[in-house]
Amino acid sequence: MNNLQLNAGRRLTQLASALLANSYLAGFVNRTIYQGKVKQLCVPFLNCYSCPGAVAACPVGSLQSLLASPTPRLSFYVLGLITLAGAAAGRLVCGWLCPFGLIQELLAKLGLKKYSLPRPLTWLKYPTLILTVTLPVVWIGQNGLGAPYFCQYLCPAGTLEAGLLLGLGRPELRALLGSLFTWKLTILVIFLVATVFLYRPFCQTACPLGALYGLFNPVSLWRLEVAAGRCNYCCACRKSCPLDIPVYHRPNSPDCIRCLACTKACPNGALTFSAAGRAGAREATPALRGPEAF
Amino acid sequence: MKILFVFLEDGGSVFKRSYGGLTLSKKVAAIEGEIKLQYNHNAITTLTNCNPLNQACLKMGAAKTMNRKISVILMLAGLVMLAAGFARGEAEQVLAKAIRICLECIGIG
Repeated sequence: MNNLQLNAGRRLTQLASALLANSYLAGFVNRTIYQGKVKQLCVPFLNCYSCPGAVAACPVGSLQSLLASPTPRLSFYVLGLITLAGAAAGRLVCGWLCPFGLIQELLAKLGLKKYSLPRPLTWLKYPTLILTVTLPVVWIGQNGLGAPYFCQYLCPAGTLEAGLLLGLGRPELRALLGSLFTWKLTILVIFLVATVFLYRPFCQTACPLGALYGLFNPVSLWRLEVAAGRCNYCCACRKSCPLDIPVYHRPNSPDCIRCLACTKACPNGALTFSAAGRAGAREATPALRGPEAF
Repeated sequence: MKILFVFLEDGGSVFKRSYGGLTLSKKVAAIEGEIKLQYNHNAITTLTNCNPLNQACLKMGAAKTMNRKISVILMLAGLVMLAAGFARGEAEQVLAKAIRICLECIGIG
């Protein structure tokens, strides 16, 4: 499989995932949301459950809703799903399944040159993750309950998928729109404009789910491995990486969304994405010199 | 747990070592030392896919084996949590929230 085939395969997978997760077409026509029992299932990626087409629940929204309920509880159901997906393949979900990631990637094609984000900005997603989990419990409103504050104040996917389609599409909801909607729309526009100049800026700086999956990257079952004996530090992997990660040095960086472009860019085939340890220890061994070599 | 047998040349002693983490490379360091050992080359190679004298390979192989164990344990933990969540009725709670229009998501709050 060459790089073009890999990119085409990834794009098709992203499209299939986005269509499957938002396959309730009647919702788009009637400006309603799906209310079937399938919606008790969570998808492992960010996909607003108030999108008219959504047939499954968003893990971040669900996690926060349960934390903000009258009897707050940390959802084992959602965390279990995230742990399972993360331990299996880390941020592969971000790179191959997330619809909002796909939207950002498609918009990115408008820009000619992509700039790298200063590294400290990429750390912002961790405070976002902490606040996403803690605020619904500690910030109690006048009604005595918390709220899904990430969805309320930050999530641009919710604004795009639910706010624009339902908020503007239904007259009774449109009448309620105010400063909060303006704030959320501003956030959405900032991220979409930034997408033209930066690669997936929301994923890099603010996505709590990406931050959580990123923590699994170094310990996931399927991961990138560098056969150091084959690597000649030509940096072809880094040049091919849209996130400018030095893959030869940090193959399982928490920032890596596992688009796997680097595996095809390496002229020596030093990079493999495989189940941990399956690529063969001998392959991953630094080159030996002298009598130790065999 | 796999056991590695190393046979000493002088006294015929037998090391019994559990294979896990980086301990194996330490044993191999001993093999490389002053004591001349006859070691079961095939056993070590089968366990690690490495030449027993190649410490870097042994270390990396052991680390990879440990990483694989960690990821499998995490996946199992995820499955257990998922099942526990179902048992606690969290899926119904998620459904109850998801079938109503989320005003916060829209920006009405």
